[in-house]
Amino acid sequence: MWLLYPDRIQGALLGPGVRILAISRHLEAQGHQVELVLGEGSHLPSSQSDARLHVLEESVLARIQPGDGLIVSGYLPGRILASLAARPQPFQADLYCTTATEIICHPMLGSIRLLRERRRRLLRYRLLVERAERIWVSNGLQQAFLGGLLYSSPRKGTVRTVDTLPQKCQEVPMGVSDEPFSTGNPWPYPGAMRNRRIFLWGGGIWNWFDVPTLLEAFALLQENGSSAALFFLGGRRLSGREEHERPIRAALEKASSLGILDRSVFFNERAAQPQELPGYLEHCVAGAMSNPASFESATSWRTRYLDLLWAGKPLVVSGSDPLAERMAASGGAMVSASGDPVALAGSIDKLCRDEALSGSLGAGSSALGERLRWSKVLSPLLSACDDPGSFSRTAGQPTLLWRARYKLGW
Amino acid sequence: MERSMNEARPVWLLFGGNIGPMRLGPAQRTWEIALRAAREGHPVHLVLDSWDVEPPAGIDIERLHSGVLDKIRHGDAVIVSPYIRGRILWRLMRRPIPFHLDFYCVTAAEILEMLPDWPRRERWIQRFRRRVRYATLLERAETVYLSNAHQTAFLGGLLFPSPDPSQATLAARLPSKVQEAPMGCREETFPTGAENPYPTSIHGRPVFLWGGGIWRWFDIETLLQAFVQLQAKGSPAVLFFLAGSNPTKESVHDGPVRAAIGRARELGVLGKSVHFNQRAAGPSQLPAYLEHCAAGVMANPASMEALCSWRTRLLDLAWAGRPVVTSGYDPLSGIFSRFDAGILTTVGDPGALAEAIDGLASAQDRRRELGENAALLGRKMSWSRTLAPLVEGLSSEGAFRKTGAPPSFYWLLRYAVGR
Repeated sequence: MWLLYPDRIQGALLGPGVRILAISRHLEAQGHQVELVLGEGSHLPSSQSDARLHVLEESVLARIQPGDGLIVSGYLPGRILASLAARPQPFQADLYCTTATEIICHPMLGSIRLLRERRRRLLRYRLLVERAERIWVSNGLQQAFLGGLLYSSPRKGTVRTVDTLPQKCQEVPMGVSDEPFSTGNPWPYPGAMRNRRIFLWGGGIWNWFDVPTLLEAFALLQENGSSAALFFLGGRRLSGREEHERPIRAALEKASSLGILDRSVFFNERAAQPQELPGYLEHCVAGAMSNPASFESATSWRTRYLDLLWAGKPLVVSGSDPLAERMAASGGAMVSASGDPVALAGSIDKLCRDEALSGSLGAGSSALGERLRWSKVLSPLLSACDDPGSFSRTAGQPTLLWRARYKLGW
Repeated sequence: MERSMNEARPVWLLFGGNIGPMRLGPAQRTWEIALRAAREGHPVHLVLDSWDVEPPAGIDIERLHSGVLDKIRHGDAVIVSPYIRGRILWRLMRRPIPFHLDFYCVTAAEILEMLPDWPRRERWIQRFRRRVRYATLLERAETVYLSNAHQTAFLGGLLFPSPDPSQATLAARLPSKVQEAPMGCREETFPTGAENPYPTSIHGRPVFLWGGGIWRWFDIETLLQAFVQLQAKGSPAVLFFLAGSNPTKESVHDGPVRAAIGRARELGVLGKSVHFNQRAAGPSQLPAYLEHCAAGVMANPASMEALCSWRTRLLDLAWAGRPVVTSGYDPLSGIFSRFDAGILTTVGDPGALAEAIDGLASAQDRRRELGENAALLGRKMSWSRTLAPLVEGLSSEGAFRKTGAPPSFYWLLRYAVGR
């Protein structure tokens, strides 16, 4: 089994890394020899996988034999994707998220660049939908989005491609760790947060979140003398890339201007290591999130909630997203209206005061976590890999015009 | 002329179509909206193509023509169907009249099932026109009512490839404009005590009711194959197609009914474990069929139509407190299944569907339990609840204020040419 992903996997695993290794481990457990092809500079945590590691470059494609299983990321570099699609090798595509929705209105891209990015994604998704034997997505909304995206293409066969898309797409969302959650972890939060009721922002601060609503909620809570405190696990700096740093700076400035920075809102002063995560989870009351009423939220799969499900912690969230709704339906989350800091502060305050509520929400979260274990969510993908009929169908190949259009973004 | 502050806002429902005593999905929805708006004290102008009903007090019915637009005053509430005639829609969009858009369904996904029969160029023109119509309406409407989140996602995808940056912005913010207001469940108490309306040959057998038309986008083959298996193993379960003939006036829907009857005959189940209603069933007869069935059935293929659908016939089952057994996902069957009011089986798998039907046919207690949950779900999805966002919008002070940019004549040209 070949797994081709452009991601660079190193010590601290981000979402894609967690997914790749989970797929790899489960395939190995089913007796597959896994050839893991990743971005340059990757190294596997020794305990995590026995897969053979390769660097992602075009030449790897020549080593894949007819009959080998091949799963590729939906986000391979365009050149490699085009080379792959031009070969008669059948493959399945893993779209763990549809990044198209994340870039629709990227604040740092000019209108021409944005248009080109959108066109490129359109070309990429169309190629994948037409060429891949199966497509793995996180939820049905992503399928509907892809259907709408391809709907008005003048290409021959579009009607059938769109209408039968659900035959090709299957849901394999990011899952919850199969390891039992360990308790008794040391207190990892800053000393100033002792005796406070901690709400954990357990991932990066991306430009598509509605952080101001969350901060305004904490300003209200502080004003009312609440013991609630918000902790941004990702800290004051991420990768150094401007697109990553700008939303963090904006959050810091907003917290400072509201007079809540280092009083009821804290940013991690150091990079959190993966092994520290259980401690942060164990000692928080709940996770916190704030979604705008946006298309990105509506079609997302917020992987950071999976840690909460693992630890049996509730979620407090303003604005909706598919996983938050599933958590709420399982009795594991409190969802308030988007952009409403008063309602969000109300939910947080209630959770701070009501231990029984916190306990029942935690149990709801834990129950959903059981249902979303990696071993369960990966089962369609693993069955497909074991199916003797898989990796046998190839569809049309991309033309040179496709390559030219992709390069130009038009 | 401005209305006074205390005057209830007049409501214009620009829906077109026909409303008669027998109301299929869209007509029933229009009627429910009008009744609820009138009940809230709004003077209601229901604007249709034709009607043969006597409107209750508070509702005036008018014929849909462009002169109606001249009667709409500043601040009136206007709700528009995206499927009214293009010419009137065009005139509405060119005027500074704020309106809400009521998509009870996204026909763009439904027509995918019809398009393969059309010439290639026509197929593309139809899709193109729907895209430009939707895009302009979504841009212009202040609020958009949809049945479920899949429809929002589909429409967002439709806007995404446009070279116009404003449409990308619209896609990104679409959920802030959208409210879910799906078709709802009837609120009057379900009448019981009716005589068994099924053919006497199936009395005493657990009837699984196909409670609506047989459209070409359903997976009838899987359903019939399931009943072949059930018949072979001696199950008493029987399938009854309520509409044994095309219930619409459109000949395009004749084919699937004929095909289903022919296939049932070919499989040796016609008149044995599969029955087609020999007479037309009016709305007044529906409760009896529901009362005397064991459960409803539905069969979806893995299609975009099913993914973006809202199967209103399931709401009748909820009203009657009857569960549904569905093969293949659709959003409302998904809700029934999550609510333990129905059983959802894998798409295209007659064995799994037969097993689920047989399980219910032989377990009356389980059927009752699922049925009670279905009734509970029906109350949660009553018209009052599903239409609440729309009805609240009518009296909201801030509503019907914003108009987006009107479409240009270039738009009209593109729409007409289909390019």
